[in-house]
Amino acid sequence: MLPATIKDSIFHALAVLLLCSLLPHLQAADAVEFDYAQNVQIETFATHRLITVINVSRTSDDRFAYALVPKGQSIPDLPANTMIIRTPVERVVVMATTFIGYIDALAQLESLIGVATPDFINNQTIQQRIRSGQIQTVQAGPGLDIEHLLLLDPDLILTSSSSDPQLDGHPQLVRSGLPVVLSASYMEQHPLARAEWLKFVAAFFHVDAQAEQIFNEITERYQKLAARASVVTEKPTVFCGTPYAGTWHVPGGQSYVAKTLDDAGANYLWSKDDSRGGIPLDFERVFFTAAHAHFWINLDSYKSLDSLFETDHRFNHFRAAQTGHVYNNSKQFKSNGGNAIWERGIVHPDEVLADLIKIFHPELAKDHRFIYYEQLQ
Amino acid sequence: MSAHPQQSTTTPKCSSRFILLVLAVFSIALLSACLGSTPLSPAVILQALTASPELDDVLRQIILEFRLPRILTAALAGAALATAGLMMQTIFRNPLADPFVLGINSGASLGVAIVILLLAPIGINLTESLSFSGQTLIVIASSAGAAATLMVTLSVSRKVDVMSLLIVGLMLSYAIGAVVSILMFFSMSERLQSFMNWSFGTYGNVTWSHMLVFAPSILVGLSITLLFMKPLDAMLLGEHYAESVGTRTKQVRFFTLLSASILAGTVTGFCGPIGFLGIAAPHLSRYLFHTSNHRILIPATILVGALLSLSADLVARGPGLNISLPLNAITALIGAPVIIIALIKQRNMKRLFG
Repeated sequence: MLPATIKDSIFHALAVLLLCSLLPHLQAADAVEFDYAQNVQIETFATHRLITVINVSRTSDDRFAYALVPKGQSIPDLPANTMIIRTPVERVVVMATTFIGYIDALAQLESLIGVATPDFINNQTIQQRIRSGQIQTVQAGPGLDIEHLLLLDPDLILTSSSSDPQLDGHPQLVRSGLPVVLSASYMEQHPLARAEWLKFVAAFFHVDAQAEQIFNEITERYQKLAARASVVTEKPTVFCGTPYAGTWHVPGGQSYVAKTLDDAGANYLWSKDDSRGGIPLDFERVFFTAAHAHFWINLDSYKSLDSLFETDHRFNHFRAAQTGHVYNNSKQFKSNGGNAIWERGIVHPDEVLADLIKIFHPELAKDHRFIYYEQLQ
Repeated sequence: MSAHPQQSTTTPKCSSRFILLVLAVFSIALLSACLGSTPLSPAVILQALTASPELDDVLRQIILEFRLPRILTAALAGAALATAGLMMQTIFRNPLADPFVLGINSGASLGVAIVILLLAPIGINLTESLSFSGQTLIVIASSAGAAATLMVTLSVSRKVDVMSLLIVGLMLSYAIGAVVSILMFFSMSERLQSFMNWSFGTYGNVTWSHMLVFAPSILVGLSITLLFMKPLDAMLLGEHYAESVGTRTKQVRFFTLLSASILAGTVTGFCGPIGFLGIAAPHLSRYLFHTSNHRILIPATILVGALLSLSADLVARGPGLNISLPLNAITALIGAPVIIIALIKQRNMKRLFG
């Protein structure tokens, strides 16, 4: 049995290889170019489009292949392990809130039939449709309800992977034959790269041109803002986050947070660090480095300085706290309705950047009004 | 090596061991004060303690607000867990008993699971309106969870014999553990991550304002145990024997369990479930002092517990590295070999436990 499968896949691989070598001149016209995103690739063939996703989690080095075959067309010969998705998709389930920003930006919310984390969704249209029953709630993580998902009969499930196999629902979804697609946008290191995954989502809806246009506008605005902030002579120092259960995860120096702060004309205190994800530190270490920092941002769910000091009075020893330079991305945070910065903000890094520039260099952003951030009082 | 329990009460050898232990605790505490995010010299520590005006403000705060409470917490927590472990091993006459056999640990984790997995997703409103958030709520929840299981086991302890109580404690742990895993099953991965973070344990969250509750609770728990040193020796020979020599076994059992629960519950509430110290420290003390006499064993266990706890915390903070490690992994790494060595070297375990 096994040798037959292997033989089969070798045959398929050879066939695709042959096809690929014949096709480049044909596909050039509608190939999707990614300028910033590094974990995704879209190739166009005569019969289908092929999306390859890599780096889906910190521990994964697998490649995931997705063939987008237009509805009504016969399925071409594809290499084994290629997930087939019939497009354009009309019944979509999202397992993480981050996808909502992309789908909303592409004006495809109508297609959404299921969401996994209703308490974390900020989008009001979706909240309303959950209440009216148009959008169903499905379980995510280890308690995945496969039967419910099968009954929903989606033609696309968008999810992301977790490096912890115990928490990762993806393998279970694949086993049950559901049309599930992994995204690696959260693993990107540039804020524009995360936004560029708009093109990836658009491919499933056949709205590539819109995605291209929206993304180009976002890039243009982002670059303009970054150029404006790049001329500053004084870069204020900044640190992020709060400790949870004793551990303070600060964003790594190669993370998109670090990149955004750099573009906003700030001096991120861990910018020299070479990790992409969070670095687990204890309070003392963060205090030693950041005691004199000018700004403190992204304080999780803290909405006021009082609640911050109530938790641990040592927070008051940071200079940023004493001078009131504490800003959280909580302006659109709703207690059981998520935070818009994790939906719209992912697709609109230009808006986030504008907020940050206003924090660090208010003189450069006099007309801008905060969209996601607020100063904690 | 195999001295009879009753022989080695207060020999000179014994007191020199105590002096060595005290010295070891103080030197590891000093080492802890010097190492961390930035290495500091003992002279700088002294400057901070004497409020010298020459010292940099950040360094002074690091010593006084971070390292000092942490060292004190580590020492107190280690002493508390070790003593609670010793009590449990004596009362149940079982070398495998630890502070958590009566379900205190799982009770605390249920309290925390309810806060992190059930309430937190519903919203911050809850904590905002009560004007405390995050850490404080976790402390309250886990102490309440520990206290609730403690009430159940203590009320049962008056009705059944000691072996049944052990089984009741185990069953309670299983049942509560099951509720926790159901909560985990229905939770998002971010929330699970927070819950797991709590279960790693840490000494870094006890600030001076927490210390006002933390330290007195532990001192009260420790003082109760000191009142029962003599009856505990009798208990070790079995409840029947203890009764025949005039020990009021039910009373002794109740108060030792009460003190052990206060000790383990307080530590779990403030620092998370810290494993292994409660088993390792009593065994190491028995090995070091070759005795089962509680007049020696209790102070020895307090010191050994503090020593092991301070060492584990020192390693967990990863001096020289730029990261911190989960405390619970380190206590297990230090605790397990200690138990194994103590057991191999001390083959008369059976005699110590009658």
